[in-house]
Amino acid sequence: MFCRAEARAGGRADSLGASVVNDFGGVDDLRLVVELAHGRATVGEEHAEIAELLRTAHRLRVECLGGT
Amino acid sequence: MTLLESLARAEAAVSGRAQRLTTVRHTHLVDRPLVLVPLMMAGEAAAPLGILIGQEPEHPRLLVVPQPRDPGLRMEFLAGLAREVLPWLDGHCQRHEAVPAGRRGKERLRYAEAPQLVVPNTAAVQALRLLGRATRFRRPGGRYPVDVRVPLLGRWLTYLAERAEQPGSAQLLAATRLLSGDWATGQSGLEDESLGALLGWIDPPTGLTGAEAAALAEERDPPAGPSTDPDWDNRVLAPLIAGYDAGERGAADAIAEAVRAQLTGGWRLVWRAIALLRQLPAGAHVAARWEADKDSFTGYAVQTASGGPPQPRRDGAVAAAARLDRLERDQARYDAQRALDDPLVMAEFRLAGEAFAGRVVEVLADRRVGAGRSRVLRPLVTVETCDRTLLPTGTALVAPGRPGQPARVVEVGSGRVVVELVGGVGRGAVPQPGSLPQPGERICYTALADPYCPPAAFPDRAATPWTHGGPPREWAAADEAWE
Repeated sequence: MFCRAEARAGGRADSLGASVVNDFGGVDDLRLVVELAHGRATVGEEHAEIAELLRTAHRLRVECLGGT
Repeated sequence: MTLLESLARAEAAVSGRAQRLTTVRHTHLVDRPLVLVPLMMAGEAAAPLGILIGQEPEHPRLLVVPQPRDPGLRMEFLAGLAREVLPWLDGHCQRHEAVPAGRRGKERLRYAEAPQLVVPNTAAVQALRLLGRATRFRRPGGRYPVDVRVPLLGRWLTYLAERAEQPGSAQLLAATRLLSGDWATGQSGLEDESLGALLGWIDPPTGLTGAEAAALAEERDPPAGPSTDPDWDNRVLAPLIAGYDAGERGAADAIAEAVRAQLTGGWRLVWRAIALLRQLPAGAHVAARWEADKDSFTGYAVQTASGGPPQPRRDGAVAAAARLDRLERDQARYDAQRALDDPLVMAEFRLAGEAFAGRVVEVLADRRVGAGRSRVLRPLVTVETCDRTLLPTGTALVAPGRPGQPARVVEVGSGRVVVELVGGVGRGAVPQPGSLPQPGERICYTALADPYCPPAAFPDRAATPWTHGGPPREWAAADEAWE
């Protein structure tokens, strides 16, 4: 059974809904998602593509929001 | 949801603070919207319990049904709502403005203002749709006569609920939908439907994170309607209604006070949401979409005044197909306009390879193609970009900052895209001064455009094919039983 409090406490992607889980291509830890986007973490080859996409997405957000 | 939005949600969850999804507001906000916060009886379809309504944050008016299961009291309540809403709508029909003639049409008049109604969440939009459906076929005469204003209110509520489905329309707005379009929170989209929790993430009180403020709002505040808190239903409302049914003195006033206490929180939240949204600058196409709202309002007001029938319970086959066609075209147009107005929305298309942005590194200003008299000026612009571009050669492009200068892809190389300008540079042998992008300038190109798409051709309703049920029956007013 899905427990919202447990998912939040564990920083799991499913606390944000099923579509978010799909977008992150199997990376379930939100902290790791953010670290990958900022280029501060590395993952194995199975997640290399999503890591690249996250870095690009982060670059675009920073560019559009003026470096925030 | 897209990857950019999902990443913003992850950032919000980790940082404890909502993240921006847009750089501008994509919805028109009028100076004095009408705010309406409904509360519906649990377990009953279209049984209103109360409504707070008004245009002044400090002076809401309360309408209450002391026994929502009584159809007579429900209709009295709806007549009271009609006394609030219909004069407000009429107030928008006092002043006209001229719309200049288009390419084919003549100059015409329309109302200079359109009404804007703001409710707390999308469930409230659905509640208004239900109320519209429950009232627009009622009649002032017959076995169960209602106030003459009630069916008219039903038509207008139905009209507004239909406008809420229209991409880019700002006539009936759900505060949660507006806010969650501009900010990503660290909770799911379903949880964003709680206005208190959503505002907690976006604008938490000093000393609290967004997550803490949202949790506090969920625990402390009553829901912003239209559903009630089941605990409140059992503990407060049920005994009060039982007292009213038993004829206790002061029971109606006690119910009104209890309903007011439930609605006041939601009322304040809606005004807080409006104030937050006002702080954002409006996108460039927002005004044009509001013009379309004024056209729509004028059309429906004229149709109603001239005795047109109410909206059908179900669209006929032709009307349904035409409506779907219109919604699809308007959605595509709205998506393109949002992207052209907002670099953060455009970033979605850049991520998908359907747009690119970068720095102009070379401009071949006097390039001409063709021979003899058909020789034309076609400058080339080379853009250095970090974006992964998936646009094939020959794709038509537009730059958001240069809408009158169409272009097309000539070559896509590693980190460089060469673009040919096919217009907007003047008709002479050399480009008009200032018409070309300059080396060093930042520029964005996209295959998205905001073109006018003509509606598809559909048969007349009288010619509806038998495969689709044949021509629908003409509407005729009929006496109806109470639901």
